[in-house]
Amino acid sequence: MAQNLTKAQRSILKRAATALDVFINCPFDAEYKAIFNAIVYTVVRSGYRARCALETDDAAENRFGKIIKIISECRYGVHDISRTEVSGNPPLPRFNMPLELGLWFGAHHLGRDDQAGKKCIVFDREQYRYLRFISDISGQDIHSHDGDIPKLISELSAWLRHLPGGVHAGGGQAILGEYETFRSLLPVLSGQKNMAPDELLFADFNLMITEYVASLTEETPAPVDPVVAVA
Amino acid sequence: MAKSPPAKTPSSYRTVGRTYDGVKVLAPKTKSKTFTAAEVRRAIAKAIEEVSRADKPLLRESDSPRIQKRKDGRFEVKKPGAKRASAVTDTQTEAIARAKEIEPNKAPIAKRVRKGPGVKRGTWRKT
Repeated sequence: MAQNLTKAQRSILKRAATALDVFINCPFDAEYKAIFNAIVYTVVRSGYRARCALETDDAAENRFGKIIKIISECRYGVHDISRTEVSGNPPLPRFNMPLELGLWFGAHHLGRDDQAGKKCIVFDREQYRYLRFISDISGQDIHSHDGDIPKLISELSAWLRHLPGGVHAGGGQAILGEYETFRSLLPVLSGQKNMAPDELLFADFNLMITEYVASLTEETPAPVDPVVAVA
Repeated sequence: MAKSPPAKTPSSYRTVGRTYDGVKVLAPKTKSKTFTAAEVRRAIAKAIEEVSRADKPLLRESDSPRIQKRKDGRFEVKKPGAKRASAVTDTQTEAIARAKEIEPNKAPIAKRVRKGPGVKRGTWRKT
């Protein structure tokens, strides 16, 4: 394929292949927030830039258009389809995550040349559960995190580390330790503006992670009891 | 598919720093409207200092013998909570040596006699 490209197209492909934006496709509800936060932390700690549909609160912009725009700008993707389950009355499945995963595959396979180098990791609760509702993607390497944050951080950091241009930011255990410390500091950080950690917007949270990761030293305190940090 | 801006190269990203293990930390795509980067940096430094302080017990809370100046100008060695001094000497150096004899496994702590850069007279110091 690369042989038929013009010089300009090859240039675009080369540049796209080195971009560091990671699209995060996962639920944004309170129940899932702990896993979402851990994903954002691992992405930033591994030297990438976290992007998701929450990054802009422009109500005038169509949500679907916003997602398409972010997907087209991101070279890498983290998709979590673990919350595809029936709920409500009548019981119907939540299908936003599989839809966005489909958009990602569509961009990858049908998009312009700069979309061809897209890579993604797909997480589910159990390894082969996805075959029951989205069997067309069988053959993809689906990772299971079982709702377990240490396992998620370990798998995601290993995947990011092995991407082209990826850097070694420490193993999953090391990143988990730093993340736990960050989590214990979060009430103090958000408290600066009289806010609870749950009230932080994605842009606030992303900024805090970025500044915290940049301030990391080898002597950064070990994880502590959140109560001690708040006191 | 919507037209995306030209792809960024790693060198075209704005970075906010580098971790101790050499990972470049990229600035977020969108700006926070609640916090500035400087505010967050200050808050992180303050929070880490609080946590570090919480980890270490205060010197005045240790059970090492204390050496302090008496009203008569001499120095006494006293165990925490004791009513009477274990020893009284003419100089602080002698008192420190005596405290080490009495409690060989506990480094005595002494009240500062002199004021120093960044330290106040009368605060506890390790000997």
